Amino acid sequence: MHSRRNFLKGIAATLALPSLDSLAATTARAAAHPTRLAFVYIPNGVNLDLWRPTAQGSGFNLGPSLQSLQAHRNDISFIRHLDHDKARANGDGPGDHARANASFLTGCQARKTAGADIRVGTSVDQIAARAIGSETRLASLELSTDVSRRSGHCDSGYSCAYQFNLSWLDEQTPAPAERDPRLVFEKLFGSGNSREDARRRAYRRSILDFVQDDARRLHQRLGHTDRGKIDQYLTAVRELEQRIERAEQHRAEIPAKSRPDGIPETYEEHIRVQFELMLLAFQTDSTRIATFLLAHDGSNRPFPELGVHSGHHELSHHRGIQDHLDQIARIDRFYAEQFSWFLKRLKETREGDGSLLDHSMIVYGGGIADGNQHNHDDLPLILAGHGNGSLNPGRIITAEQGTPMTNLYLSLLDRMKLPAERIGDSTGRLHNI
Amino acid sequence: MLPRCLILPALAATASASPPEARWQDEILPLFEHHCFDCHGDGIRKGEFDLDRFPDIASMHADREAWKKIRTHLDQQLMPPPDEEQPTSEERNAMIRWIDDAVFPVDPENPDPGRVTIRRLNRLEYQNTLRDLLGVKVEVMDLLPPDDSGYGFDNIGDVLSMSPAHLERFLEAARIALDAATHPDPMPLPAVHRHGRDLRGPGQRGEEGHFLHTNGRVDATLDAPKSGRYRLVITASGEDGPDGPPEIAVHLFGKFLGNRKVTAPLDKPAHHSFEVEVPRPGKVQAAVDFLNDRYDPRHPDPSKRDRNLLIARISLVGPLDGPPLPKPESHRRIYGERRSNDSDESWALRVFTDFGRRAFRRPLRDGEAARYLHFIRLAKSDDLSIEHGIRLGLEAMLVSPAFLFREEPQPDPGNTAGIHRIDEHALASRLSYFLWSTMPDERLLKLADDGKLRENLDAEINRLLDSPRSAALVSNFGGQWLQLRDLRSAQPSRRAFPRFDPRLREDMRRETELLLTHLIRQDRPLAELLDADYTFINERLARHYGIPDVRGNDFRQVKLTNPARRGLLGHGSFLLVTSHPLRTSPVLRGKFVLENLLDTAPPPPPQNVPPLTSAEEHHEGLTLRQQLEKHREDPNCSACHALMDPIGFSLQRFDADGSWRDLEAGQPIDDSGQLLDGQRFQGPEELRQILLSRHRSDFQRSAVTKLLTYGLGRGTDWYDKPAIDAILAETERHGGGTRAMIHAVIHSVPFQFRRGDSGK
Repeated sequence: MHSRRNFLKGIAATLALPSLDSLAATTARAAAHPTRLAFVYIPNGVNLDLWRPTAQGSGFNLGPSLQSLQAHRNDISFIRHLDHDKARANGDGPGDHARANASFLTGCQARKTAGADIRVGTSVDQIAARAIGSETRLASLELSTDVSRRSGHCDSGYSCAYQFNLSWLDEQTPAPAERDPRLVFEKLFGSGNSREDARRRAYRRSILDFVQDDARRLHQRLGHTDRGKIDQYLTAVRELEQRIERAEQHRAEIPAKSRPDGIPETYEEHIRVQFELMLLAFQTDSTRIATFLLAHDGSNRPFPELGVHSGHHELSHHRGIQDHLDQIARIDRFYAEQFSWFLKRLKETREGDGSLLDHSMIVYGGGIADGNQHNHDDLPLILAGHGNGSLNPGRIITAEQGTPMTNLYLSLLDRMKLPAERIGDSTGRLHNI
Repeated sequence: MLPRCLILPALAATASASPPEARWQDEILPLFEHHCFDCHGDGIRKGEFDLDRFPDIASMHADREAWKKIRTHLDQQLMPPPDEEQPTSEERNAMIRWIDDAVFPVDPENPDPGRVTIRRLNRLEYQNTLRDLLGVKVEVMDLLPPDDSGYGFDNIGDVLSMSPAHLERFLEAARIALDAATHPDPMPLPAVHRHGRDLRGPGQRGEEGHFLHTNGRVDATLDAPKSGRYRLVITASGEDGPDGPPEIAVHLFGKFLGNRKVTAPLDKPAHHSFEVEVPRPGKVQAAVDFLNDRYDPRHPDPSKRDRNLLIARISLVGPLDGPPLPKPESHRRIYGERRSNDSDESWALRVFTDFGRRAFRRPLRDGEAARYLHFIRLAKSDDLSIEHGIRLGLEAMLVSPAFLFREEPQPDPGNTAGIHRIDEHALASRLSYFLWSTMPDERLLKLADDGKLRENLDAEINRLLDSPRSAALVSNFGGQWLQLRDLRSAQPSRRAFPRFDPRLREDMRRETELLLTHLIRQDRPLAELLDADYTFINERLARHYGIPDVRGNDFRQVKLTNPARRGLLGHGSFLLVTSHPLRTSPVLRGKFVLENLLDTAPPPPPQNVPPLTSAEEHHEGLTLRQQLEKHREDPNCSACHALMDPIGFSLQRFDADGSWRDLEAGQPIDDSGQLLDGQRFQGPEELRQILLSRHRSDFQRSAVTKLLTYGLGRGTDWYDKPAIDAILAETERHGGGTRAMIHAVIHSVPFQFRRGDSGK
């Protein structure tokens, strides 16, 4: 409890700091207000009846589970009929949770394997990061508030890599998300001792440069698959070298007292601190791309603080039982409240003549619609923010039945001025968003 | 007859006399044509699958993945669909047997050892390795991203990835670990300290030190090891009064040394030093007087109304002409002694060569250590000492792929047909990471250096198993195989189980670990895991189980009188990790038994999940069993649940918190079950008997498969069958014990050999 209060207070204090203003000034020269892109994942499907809005004239009435979003109704749209076909079995049998998680940002069919030859696809955030990541200190930010992992097997013959990672650097390499807010903070702003950090960066650079040679020598001694692993290593070395370079170019001084100290006790605080860090990363233009896995698909977290004593996954197989559906709605409401809080914070954060929310595009949703059916069509999905004026929120947007989710992603990348040809299973653009 | 899925591997053994090609034409193809081609042949490709593309056995070998699916569908009776004509069980078995012989042929005379993908240390192995390499305990595990698992374990080479986030944290962890282990700066002089809270005198003592609110004296006795010059250091802070900061007078042996003004603010004490002469070793009396207390409640500046003093610490540093403190033990071990004729580079080279051998788990290659001299030059150009330069080189070694990955060199790595016995250093690493989850110790490395490890293999296996470090095998292999690690997050609901003491989770983990340890130590048969008539418990767990006369927190071996509690199926660990927070789950318990103990993946649920039962159709008030039985009326669900549920039902008298119960939801518990062949059984004892009498070999095979997976760091595949057969036979030949099984795994072909990999 202590940590979050201190932390949030600390952040508030930084808002008035001259160093931040000057930072904002330098970035303002680069681009008026960059468009930020974020993806927030909710697991296990939702109680659709209470989640979905009902149309009302040109607008909508929020579903009972999403009442907390009332204040932001003009900043969000609901998009209907977006599917993830690649989360379906397509001949691979069971494993909907693993596939839902793995396909959500990739739009690719996870190769069914418990280990050998893992393969899915590069996720949309990483496609964006590759294109514009070099403009900010961090190419992208991956956050999570997932519980520590269970041992043993994951979903039905799929390696756990699929079920626990949202973001994929390439088709074989997941980008692990960070749970610990303190470590996120340090990744963003360093240890608080800038002289020491600069010294460290110099040595890191020489160390990385040096071990790169070790890796190349090793590479020559290996067979095919092993070389792939060392290629991953070499890619990581190069990425870190670039990151060090960018850290030299773009500096951000954040007072050490705003440093969060570890993982907060309650889930709610944990989620909010992570959201706050995402906001801070955007505000300081440390990155423009972020993903946030609230919990992996299939997560069986109970919510005793909400009076939900059964696990989320267990409940999501509700079999139509009213009591289970009610409890699912309680969880849905909880997640929506956290998201609503984040939107409020984005809106409060001024940037130029507008707010950070005006300059952001945030996808909030999951890869399963109804937990009992494990269906991957008409997925629960909110698109929040104004995308620097490129989005037209406050509506229900009804896509054609069977539209790939990745069509939306393509259209979002367009708005970042990053036109891509396709993402995973995309078939075109989603117009009129 | 047994449930089909439970006897999967056993049938495949017999080979027919006529060659597979002939049998395909005469016997098998006609069966496929008759039962499969209506949908999957002659140009028809239902589900985008057809058999036309397999004109001969070579084409089948080219796509074994497809044939694994075909085999599974036949074996688990998923195809032909239930509403089509079914092959007789003889026909079905003939098809499966043919697939095994023709598509997945194995030659025990020329076994394929497979290929382990180069393994990155997982974060647990990494932390253990740092501990043993550096000689200090560092907690860096939580700094690293959690490792993904495959095949049920988190040490699988294919799955352990290396992202920028990983590498960044490895850099950070290396720095933290070397900070703890080395001390490249000159060492400080010896010092004795007396914390403020341990001082004598009036005032108040707290964590910050000794507070004086009025004038007075505090004093301390410190021990000087020798006579000589010392520095007496008073660490103090204060609050200003109306006319300035607090002032102190310092005395040694009652002799006045001097006055000082204490200007440091309360939360940042500062040092005040005096050089002093200590005439003889022994007790030294130091005293500090607070001279100028002042209190003026009417002063306009509230921060200047009350002058107070805090003495945080009194220290005696020295003797000043004596030697500084020795470097820490871990530092000395890594840096060694600098010899009188050593140049900077020759010393550094020796450090890198010795450290590199242990860090890379093999002797360094020609010129490899010399490359690291780069960091000596780098340090020099930055005006840093040689010791800092060495330290940088060590840091680089700790993020080098030679340290983070376990290379297993082979002469022709790109040749898939080339089979190579792994060298002794690779073997030493396989052994130590398998049995200890850490790097090889000096003895293993030495044996490998001398090429004598294989000669002494059995003795070394026993030595490693007898070492306390083999606890890592139990907690990491056992912890994942039997999901003991999940007990940490198992949460019986406080509302439903108010009497459940959360400490029981740790006790339950311990119980199962101790049983596994016992089986390894005493070389008992692993099947005893299922039916040991003894267990290891403490008082808390004994009470939970309703076992009398166990007192205290210590675990001890206890004879079980209630047969229901015998073996793993009566262990709280198993019962808890297979339960939901509010209730038991017969399905999860059944799944655990099938997956973890019999290595039989439950057949996949139907492709199209049937429409959900609406709320009106749902009959509230049914027991869980009744609900599940309704579920099983649906033929789509029955295939799977008919296997899992009876196992789970027979354990229903064990509640979700692992305690025993006689009623569920106020109703008596029916703990009977029925196997697919119609045989009925009841309760944990009969379930156990069925497992042990009819499935003992499935259990053994399953355990071997898991051990091999964990030991190798890869999933097992069809070509491993001869190795698994050999391990089972070898185990039996050596008495059938668990230790014998571990020996056999280590002696097996996949553990001792590897083949090349061209990517094809």
